[in-house]
Amino acid sequence: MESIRNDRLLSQQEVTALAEELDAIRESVLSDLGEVDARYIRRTVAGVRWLGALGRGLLFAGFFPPAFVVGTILLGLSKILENMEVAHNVMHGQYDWMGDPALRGQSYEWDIAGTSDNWRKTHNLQHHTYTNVRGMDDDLGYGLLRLFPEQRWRPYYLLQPLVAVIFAVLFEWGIAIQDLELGRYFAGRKSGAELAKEAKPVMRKIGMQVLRDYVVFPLLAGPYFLTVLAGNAIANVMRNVWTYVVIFCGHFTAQAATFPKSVVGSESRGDWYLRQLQGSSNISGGPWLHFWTGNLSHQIEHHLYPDLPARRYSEIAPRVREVCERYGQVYNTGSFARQFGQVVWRILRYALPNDLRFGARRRPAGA
Amino acid sequence: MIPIISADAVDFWLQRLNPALSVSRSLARLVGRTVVAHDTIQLTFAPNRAFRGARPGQHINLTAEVDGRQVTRCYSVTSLPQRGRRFDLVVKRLTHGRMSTFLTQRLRIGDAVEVGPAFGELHAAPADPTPRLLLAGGVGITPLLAQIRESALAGFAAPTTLLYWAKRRADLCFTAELEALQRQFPNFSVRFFLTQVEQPQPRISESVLLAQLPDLASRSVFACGPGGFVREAGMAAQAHALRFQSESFEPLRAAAAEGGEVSVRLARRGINISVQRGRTLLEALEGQGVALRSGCRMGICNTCACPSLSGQTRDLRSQAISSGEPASVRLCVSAAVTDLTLDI
Repeated sequence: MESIRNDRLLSQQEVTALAEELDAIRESVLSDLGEVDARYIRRTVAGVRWLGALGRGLLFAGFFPPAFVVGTILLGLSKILENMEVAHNVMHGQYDWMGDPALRGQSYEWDIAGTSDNWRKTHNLQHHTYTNVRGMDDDLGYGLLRLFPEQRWRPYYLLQPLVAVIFAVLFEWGIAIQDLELGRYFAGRKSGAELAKEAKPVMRKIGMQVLRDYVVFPLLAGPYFLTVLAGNAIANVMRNVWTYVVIFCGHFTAQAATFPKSVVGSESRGDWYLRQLQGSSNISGGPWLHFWTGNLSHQIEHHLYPDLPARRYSEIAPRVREVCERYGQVYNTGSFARQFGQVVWRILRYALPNDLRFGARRRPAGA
Repeated sequence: MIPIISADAVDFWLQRLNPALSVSRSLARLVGRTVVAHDTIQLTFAPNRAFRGARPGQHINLTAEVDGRQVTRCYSVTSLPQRGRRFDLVVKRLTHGRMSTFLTQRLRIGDAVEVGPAFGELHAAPADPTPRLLLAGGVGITPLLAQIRESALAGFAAPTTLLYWAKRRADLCFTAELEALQRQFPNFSVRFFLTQVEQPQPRISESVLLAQLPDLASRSVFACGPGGFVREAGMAAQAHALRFQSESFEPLRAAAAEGGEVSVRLARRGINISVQRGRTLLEALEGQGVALRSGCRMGICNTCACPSLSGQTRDLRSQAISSGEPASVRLCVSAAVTDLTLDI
């Protein structure tokens, strides 16, 4: 089903003109930032705190089943909102213009097992600069999954449908160790001393998260230790699965393109914009969908403008789409069911070799 | 160190009770507001425990969020520490002053602002008997007022004369208090000079000072006011007086011309580096051997972002020039326009 993008090939002049048009959209938002955006992010932070407090409060009464269910859901929602609409966006520097030290991209620490410093490197730097470049953007399958035909097939990938589900459930732990590059260590390309040094801040952050969600708050519940522990664990998994689904819908839909390493280095700003556009996909839906995905349902706009406050993406999306249409570029969007269906298809399809004819793999290349 | 619950989360819940409570930041709540002159307001603040107090004549950097952005301005404390932890600031509203307009018109009783540590050395011990001359230009009266109040508590051990310049009578602050002190203490005198009235009085000059104070040579002079006023005061008094101390406040300078070099101060490293105006700060600083965190080098990843404390920069993508307020600067796509202080 591999659908091919039918983007119009642009001349260098057109690429430059496209960059100017996309820059103009960026400038129009930047010049309009102000009190409304500041109030929005403050209220969202307040939402995170209230949902979290109510959720944890209800979990203390978790022996009463409805309190357990509602408490777990509220805590999960608090974590989702913190990770997606606050932390992810703040760490991109989207609110640096406010000058508030509590919302500073370089120093914000988020409520998840991984450290913010690792995320700023693997996500802000590697994923956003080298989006969907094979061998440079580790988010392409996270070294665990085969999602594109250009990735080499190995028998291990037959287990991929199972691995993908386990990875979704444990997503925060995967993110936590992503930058440790354990693969390089096992391949003997990284020393134990190097790994130990890198692992120190990671282990400290993991320790704090475990201590809070699986020791301190359960202990505060006294005899209901296990109830609170279970509620916290489920809330964390809720967040893991949701963030995983949203992230996968953003880059692994049918029409998301990948790129060879050779594109990097000689790219103009326009080329970079084009690559972001071709490697990203949106989820169409209403304001609640946008809110609970941290506006990453506008993955295209986010990749074009990672440092604009995400609440502005839905407002500029029609303008971006209009520019895409004029330049003959596919604007990859679809319903949640459609986009996620395509992701699931990729996970299943590329668990198998590209060429499914019996014995095809043994044929010499080019035959 | 990552605590189990962040300081910001603790602050959030504390601030549901009182907006000036914080475990890590020095905040103060507005508790009083009095008009003291035309467009000039005295604000009374109740600080939290993190605030260490101010001596008479000192200033405080006040930070508030105006239109979504943190703005910092310096104001002089006019109250005395003897009164307790609460302190007064006097703010004159400027026509295009974002912060002064916010503080005088929009900040409500009960709202909190951030207050920096007090600083400034324009001060003389109240017991010091050396005769004094105080020169105030406009709202420059404020740090001097604290000194006068402190001297009044000690009964004016030193003969003290205040010469106070303003445009019109309505611009003068605390005239009733100053005149009352003059009546009460033979050692204290005050004289007002209004320069934009029907029969204007002379601006500050050598001849005015010598005419007013035949004993100028025996006096310590303290001057405070706008940059021009303080320069004039220095030229008028320095050659004749025993000592001369001054402080001035200057509005932000407009962006300087293109080309040439500017000086970048790296505050945490304590070094000054001169860089070309047109180059990105990242390249320019690296070219001088400064090791900096950086990533994509194209304005995307935010790795090189650092706080600027003062000075203006140009975003080389949009050519937009920053306002000069403390802000976050992406070094890889920004060039210096004026002298700059970076918090790295």
